[in-house]
Amino acid sequence: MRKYLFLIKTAWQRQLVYRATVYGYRLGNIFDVLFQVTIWTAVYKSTSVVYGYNYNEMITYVMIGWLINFMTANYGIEDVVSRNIQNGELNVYLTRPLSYLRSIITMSIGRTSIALISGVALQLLFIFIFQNHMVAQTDLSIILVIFIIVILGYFVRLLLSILFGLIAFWATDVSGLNSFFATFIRLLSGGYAPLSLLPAMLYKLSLFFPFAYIVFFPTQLYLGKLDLMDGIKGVGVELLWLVLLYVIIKIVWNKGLKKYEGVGI
Amino acid sequence: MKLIAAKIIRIYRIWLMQLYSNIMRRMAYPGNFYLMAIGSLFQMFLSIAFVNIIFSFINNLAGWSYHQALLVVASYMLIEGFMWGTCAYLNGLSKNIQEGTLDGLLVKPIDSQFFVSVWQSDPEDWMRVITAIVLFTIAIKGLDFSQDKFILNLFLYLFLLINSYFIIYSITLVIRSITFWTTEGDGLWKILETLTRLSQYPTDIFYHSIARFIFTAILPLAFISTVPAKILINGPDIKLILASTFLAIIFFIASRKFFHYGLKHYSSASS
Repeated sequence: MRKYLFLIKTAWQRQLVYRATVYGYRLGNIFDVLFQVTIWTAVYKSTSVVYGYNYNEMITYVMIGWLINFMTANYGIEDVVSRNIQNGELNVYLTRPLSYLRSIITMSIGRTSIALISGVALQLLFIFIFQNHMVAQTDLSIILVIFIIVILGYFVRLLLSILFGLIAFWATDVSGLNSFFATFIRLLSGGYAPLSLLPAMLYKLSLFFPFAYIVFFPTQLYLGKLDLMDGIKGVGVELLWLVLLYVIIKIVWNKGLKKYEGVGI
Repeated sequence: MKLIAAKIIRIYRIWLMQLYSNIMRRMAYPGNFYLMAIGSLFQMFLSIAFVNIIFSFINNLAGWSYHQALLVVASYMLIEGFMWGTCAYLNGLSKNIQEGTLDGLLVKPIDSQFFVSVWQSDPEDWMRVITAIVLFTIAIKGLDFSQDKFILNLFLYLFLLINSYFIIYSITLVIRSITFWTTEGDGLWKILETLTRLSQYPTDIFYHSIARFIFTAILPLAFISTVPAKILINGPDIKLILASTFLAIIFFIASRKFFHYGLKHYSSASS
């Protein structure tokens, strides 16, 4: 346990060194959030309801959606994994008495904690500013389920990122693939806009994948468009996906290791 | 005059050589090249899809019709495509400062700013330009233009797009030059990405007077795609054309000065 705590501490210290990156991301996020609010405000000048969302519900979706996005983000752990494989940095991990997968999961917690704290603080400030245009959720059991879904969502997103990063065992350069998947995950998780805005077929299909449970599902719960039972079912689906993703990662990892050339040895 | 022409030809040749070397670099991993091209297309598809979704339940967005809004998106995509295709949003500047390899570029017998700018370009992003031209054609077909008016407006539109390129290039150069002090480029890219993305929709959506002032006077995002599209649709507006040209010149000079000021603070990692 102590060795994993040490990994968290090291990743945390590393993030404190690169503070400018965190500041840059947060400043960029301010424009991100304001842009979404601005465009939806412009849209609602011409209509009162968009796919079942009134203005206050849409602003709530943006605010809570971003809050959950900050809480589940891992800031490109797939790049870290693929870089470790491509540059041969994996050699160091393989010689340590630690599991690489556990190390990377632990390291990710330390790596994202500062960004998470600053992101959540920023978003809470936005929520405070826009509170008069937001829908409030007061049911504590729903809030508890949302909290559980968000924690599970963090790990679903993390495992998905690790899985994409492992593709580097077979491909020489995966930067293109990683940026493609980042956009893809954000779209299908509801990070750009509610998934219900998608064509009906695509919307129904998206609910079979784990992405929808990262942002869209908990935000729907908050808005009261889904009830407590749906939320509990969602927790079950997320748990199933977590197990499935872990098994897939294990299989891919074992197959990938056989292909690994260990650059630099 | 001859000297200037020779200088321009030299710069053009160097740019071509860099472009060729970047294509070779990318094509070393063809699979990744195609994936990156698909990724660029996918991002553009999302922007177009978003406009389509919005206009499926409204007729106009802050006074812009569907085809007019498409024209703004196409203009933004054109500029974005050229920025990626010619200088990769100056990604090379941040990268070289971070890795301490900028020295190698600075010692070349050519203008440092120019060489640093064209050192990296992303050839797969020319796909954006092609898609933008297709989208532009669709938007134009949906708008009713008389033939004689259209040619003059198109000429002015292209002129304003050149100004847009210089404005966005200058903003990029200033933001990227901050890397001389921070040595980290990731966060700066995030600021740049979100700022430039604001200009992909008509800036008239900024109803608030403060926001409108910021995005026209301080950060002239309105001049990147909204103003060129307005001129193409409504015809010449001398005030806007002069303002765009003035801003492009001022921003370019200011960013060049800032880059050279930043260069003085460059502490190499390798020499």
